[in-house]
Amino acid sequence: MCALSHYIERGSQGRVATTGISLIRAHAEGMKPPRSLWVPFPLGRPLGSPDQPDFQRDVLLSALQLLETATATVIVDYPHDAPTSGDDPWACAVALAPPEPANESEALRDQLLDEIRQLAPWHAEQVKRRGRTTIGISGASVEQIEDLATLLADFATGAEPSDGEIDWNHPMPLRLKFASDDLRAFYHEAATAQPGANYPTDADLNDWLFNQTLLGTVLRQIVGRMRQSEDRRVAGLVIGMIPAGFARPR
Amino acid sequence: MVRTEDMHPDMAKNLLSLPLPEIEPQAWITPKPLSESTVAIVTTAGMHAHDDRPFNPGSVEYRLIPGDIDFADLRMSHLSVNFDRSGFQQDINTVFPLERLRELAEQGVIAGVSRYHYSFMGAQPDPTRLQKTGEEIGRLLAEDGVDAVFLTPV
Repeated sequence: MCALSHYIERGSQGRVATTGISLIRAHAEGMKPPRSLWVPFPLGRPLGSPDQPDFQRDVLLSALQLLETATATVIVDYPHDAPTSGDDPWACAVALAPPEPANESEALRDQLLDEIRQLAPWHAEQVKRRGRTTIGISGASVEQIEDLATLLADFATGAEPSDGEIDWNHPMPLRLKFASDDLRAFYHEAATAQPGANYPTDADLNDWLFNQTLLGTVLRQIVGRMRQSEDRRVAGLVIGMIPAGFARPR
Repeated sequence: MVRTEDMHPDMAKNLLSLPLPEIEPQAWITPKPLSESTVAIVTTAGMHAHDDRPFNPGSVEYRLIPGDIDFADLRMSHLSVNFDRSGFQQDINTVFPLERLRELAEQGVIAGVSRYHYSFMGAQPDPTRLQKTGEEIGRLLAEDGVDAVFLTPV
């Protein structure tokens, strides 16, 4: 982000000024983009929190105002934390009881599909309420979510992954990463479907997915197999599968 | 509240050890007043339209996001797993505040919203690799009459 500020201004030959959000203050201090608003928000949430339009507008306006007030390179600290839903801990409305994961591909797949079917009504509710889903980067549609689960369960148990009916966007092994991202999106969207409930932080959702769902266990099994792979492309994907801090169960 | 000292130690160590190359600063640009400025968003969130090619590892390409895009058509194929995606999944404005920008234009705070916005994939081990495409969109934005850019990372 910091480098792009410099390059955009240079490419515009002085006609386009830049301002922006900094999530890592040390990066803005080091690379000195012309105008930065440092915000104390989680990585991935530069405007603070979802469904908080007044707060988002204030963050945006605070950054834009630097275009009028700054006369030299500047980093301004945004003074507010992102809104939260209060002190009550978040809990997923769907009480999943993850079974001991099976070692056989077919049995593990059936367990994972059962978990997905428990979440499916909530995901459908989310799609109805928001009018969209972010699933699709693997090439799969929402209707093909079970094919994604089959791919991951097969890989987790060492079975030959089947191609299914999906028009994949990526070859193996990159396919595993994006299949995993799409499945995580399905779980996140289902878990956040309930309107009016207190909303989860990213840490809440990661804790839920990696400690309370079978998918979290399957993803760890996949990463274990990736680490043992002699194919450097496979081993290199490990860092793109599970967020830091969730590689081991709580 | 999240600051580097609140992050997982491995993630904080990784983020704080990234190289921060010195980039020759440009002559200071004195922008137009906001009320006379057309504003575009440039994000490093790895977003793109559903039918666009997803980003590949190490990609320094960009994707064009039309100003009238339906939010239902947006996807994110960023390679990093170490940032929150749930904000984007619930409300695109958490990362790409196009609706907020439109509201500021309706209120007259800014003159208008650009016809086009741009998306890159961040988390580049060497951010100077973005020079060519970064300068290219600077030229494109200027040619399109954009006065100011709001950048969002993830």
